[in-house]
Amino acid sequence: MQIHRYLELDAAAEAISCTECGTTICNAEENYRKHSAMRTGPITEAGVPFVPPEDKIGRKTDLEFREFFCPECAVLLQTEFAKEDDPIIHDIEIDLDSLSE
Amino acid sequence: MATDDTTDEHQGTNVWEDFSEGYVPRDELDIHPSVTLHDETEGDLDPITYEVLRHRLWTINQDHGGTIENVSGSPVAYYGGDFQPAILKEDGEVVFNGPYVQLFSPVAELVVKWILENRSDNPGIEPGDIFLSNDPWVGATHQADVFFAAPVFHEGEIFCWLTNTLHQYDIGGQNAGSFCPGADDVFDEPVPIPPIKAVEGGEVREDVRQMYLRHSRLPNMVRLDFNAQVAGLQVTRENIKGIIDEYGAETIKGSMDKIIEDSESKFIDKLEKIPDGTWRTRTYEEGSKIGNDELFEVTLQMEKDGNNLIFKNEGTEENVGAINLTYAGFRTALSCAINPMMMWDQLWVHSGAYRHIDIETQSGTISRASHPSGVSCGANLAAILQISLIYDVMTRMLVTSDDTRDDMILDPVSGISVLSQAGMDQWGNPFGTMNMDVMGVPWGARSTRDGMDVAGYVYSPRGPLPNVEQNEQDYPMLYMYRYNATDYGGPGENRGGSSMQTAWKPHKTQAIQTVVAGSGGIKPNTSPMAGYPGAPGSVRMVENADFDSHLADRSMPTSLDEFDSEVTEYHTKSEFVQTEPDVVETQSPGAGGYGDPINRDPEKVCSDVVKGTVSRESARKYYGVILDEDGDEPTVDADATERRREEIVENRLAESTIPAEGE
Repeated sequence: MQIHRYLELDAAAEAISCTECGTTICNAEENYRKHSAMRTGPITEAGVPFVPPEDKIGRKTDLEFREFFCPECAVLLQTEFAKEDDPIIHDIEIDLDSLSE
Repeated sequence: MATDDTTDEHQGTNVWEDFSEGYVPRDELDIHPSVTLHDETEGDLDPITYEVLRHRLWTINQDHGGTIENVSGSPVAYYGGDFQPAILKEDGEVVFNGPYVQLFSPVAELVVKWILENRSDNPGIEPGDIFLSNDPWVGATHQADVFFAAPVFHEGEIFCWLTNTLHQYDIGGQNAGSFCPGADDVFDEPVPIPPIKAVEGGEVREDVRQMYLRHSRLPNMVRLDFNAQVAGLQVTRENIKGIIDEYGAETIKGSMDKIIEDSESKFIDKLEKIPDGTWRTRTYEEGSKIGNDELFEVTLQMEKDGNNLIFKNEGTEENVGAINLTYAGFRTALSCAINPMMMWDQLWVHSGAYRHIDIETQSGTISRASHPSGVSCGANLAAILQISLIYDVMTRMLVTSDDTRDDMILDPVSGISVLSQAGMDQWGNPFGTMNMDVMGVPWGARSTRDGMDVAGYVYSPRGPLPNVEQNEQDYPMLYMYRYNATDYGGPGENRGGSSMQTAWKPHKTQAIQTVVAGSGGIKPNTSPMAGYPGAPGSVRMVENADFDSHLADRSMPTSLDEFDSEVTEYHTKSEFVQTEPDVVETQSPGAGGYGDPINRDPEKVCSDVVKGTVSRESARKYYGVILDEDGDEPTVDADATERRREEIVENRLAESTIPAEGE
C-alpha cells in the first residue's frame, strides 16, 4: 500500500520501504523520518527566495530546515521546518490492526 | 413567544459558557416549544424530480449570492467573493453553500442552532425575522464576517433557514478595517455581537441597525452591505416559498434530505477506501501581535477511525495576543479542505461529511481560543494557518488510496498577508478596504500535475482577483507592476504553483494607512509531500521612491530594486503609513511541490526557466538541470544535467545522518 509519494507499507511484512529502490526503511509502526538520511541546514536552503529570519522579524531564530532522503537511493522523502531541539514529527501512523480486519 | 408555563421546560444553552469557550451544539437542540420545525419529508423522490430540485436549490442559492454582489456594490463581495449564502434545513444543517469563500457555511449552522436554542423563547422566532451576528464564540471566523440568518416559515413551522455572511469594510476595533493584529485581547477589537433580531416581521429594526452601524468607521458603506444582506435573504425567501408552492413542502424537504444523504454516503465511500491511521503536522506562528517576535507552536493531529475523522491539537500553545481562532473558526476551516478534495462531486455539500467529524481540540489554545482572546484576525491569519495544517494532514491521508490520491491538492495557503488599507480616496472621501490582491495565491502540486500559478484560493472558486484597473478605479492607488514571481512555486517532480508579486503607490491622496495581518512570513506553514516548499510571501516598502524620474524616462519600474532607496520589509503583524511617494510591494506565498525535483522532466524545467517561473539557480540547485545557453533560447544540456543529478544524490547522502542511529 502506498502511504506517501515514495513510501510503501507492506502490511504482511510490517515494514515501510522506498518505492524507488525497494529498500526497507523501518518497521511499519516506526517513524520513517528517523530511519531516513536527514540533512539539516538553515531555512534559506528551502528555496532560492528564502531569506534569514532576522531579515523578516529582526532577530535570529533556532528554526532549521530538515530534508529526509531514502538512505539507499537518496530520493527526497520529505522536508520539515522545526526548532533545532524539537523532535522529528511522526506524520504518518497507519493502524496496522485495521488493515487485517 | 415564551409563556410562563413553558419557561421551565426550555433552558437553551449556558450562553455565558458559550461566550467563553465557544458554542458546541448538542445532538438534541433545546428549542422553546412555541417554535416548531417542519420535518415532514417525501422519502421516495423519483430521480428526475430530485435532480431538477437539487439544481433549482443550487440556482436559488446562486441568485442569493448575485443579489448580495449587486446590491452591496462592495469590491470585497464582487472582486473577492468574500461572502457566502447558504440554505439550511429547519434544524440548521447546511444543504447548500455557494462557490464563494467556503469559510462560512459550517459556522452558519452554529449560528442557526444557537438562535434556535437561545432565541426561540425571547425574543422569539417569527415569520419575516432576520437575525444578525458576528460573535466568534457563537459562530464567526472573526468579527468582520457578519452573519444574517432568516427562518423560512411554512404553515406556521420553520421550513428551513437562509443565511449569508459578508466581510465588512470596517466594523470597529482599534484598527481601520477591523483586523487588529496589535490587540492584547478582544476588548481591543470589534465588539462581538451574539445573534440579535435586526429585522422583525419584515421590518428593519432601526434601533438595532443604528447600533450596528455605530460601530463602524464607514457606516454608509456598511449600511449598503446591511441592505444587501437583508435583500439577499428576502429575495431568496420568496424564491424558496415559490418552489414550495410549485412542488410541495414535503417534496422540497425530501430533496434537501437526499442532498445531504448523498454527500454523507459519498464521504463514507471515500473513507472506506482509506486505511485507518493518524496523521500529524506542526508549525510555528511568528509573533503573537504587533511587536512580538516569538515563535508559537501550533499542531494538528487527524485520526481516521472507520467512517470518522477526529481532529486534535495536542501541543498547541495557549491562546495569546491576536493570533487565535475559536471553535467555530476551526470547525469551518475544515470545509476549505474537505469541500475541494472530497466533496467536489457533490456540489461541495459538506453536511454529510460533518456528520462524521469530531473536533476534540483543547480549549484555551491558539486553535480553540477562550474569551477574551484576540480573534479579529481569525479569518485571515488564524483560520488560514489552520486550513494549511488541515490540508497537510488530509493530503497525507488521501495519498494512501488509489481512489483518492488524484483528488489531493497540496496546501495552497502556506501563508498569507492581508493588507487592510484606509485613508482619503481620490475624491476626498474616507475609504477603507481589504486589498483583494491577497487572492493572488497558487495551488499546491497534485499527484498528477503541477500546481496552478496565481490560481486564487482553491476554496473560493468564485473569488476572482481584481484587475489593477478596478483597484485604481475604486481606491487612490497607482499600480506599477503585477506578475507571476520567479521561484515561489516549490520545486518538485510536479512543481508547486507560483504566486503574484505586485506594487503600487498612493495616487491623488496624501497617504494610505495600512495594517498587515498574516502568517507564514518566515517560512511556509507546512512542508509538502516529497517536494520542496513554496516560498513565503512578503510586504515591503520603499520610502520616497523616485517614481517621477521613471515616468520622465517613460519607463515603468518592475522591481523595488530599481529605486535608489532602502527597502523595508514588514512583519506579518504590523502597521505603517504609506505616504504619497512610497511604493509598497506585496508578494503572495508560493505553494509546495510533489515528488523529488530531480525526477522532473528536464524539458519542463527548461520551459519554466524560459517563462521566468523558475530561475537558472533553482534549476541547477533543486532540479539538477543544466541549460545550454548557446542558442537563441536555452536548451537542456543532457550530459551536464545527468552529472549534476548524480552529484545531488551523492551530496544528499554524504551530508546526512540517520537520526535513529543516534538515539
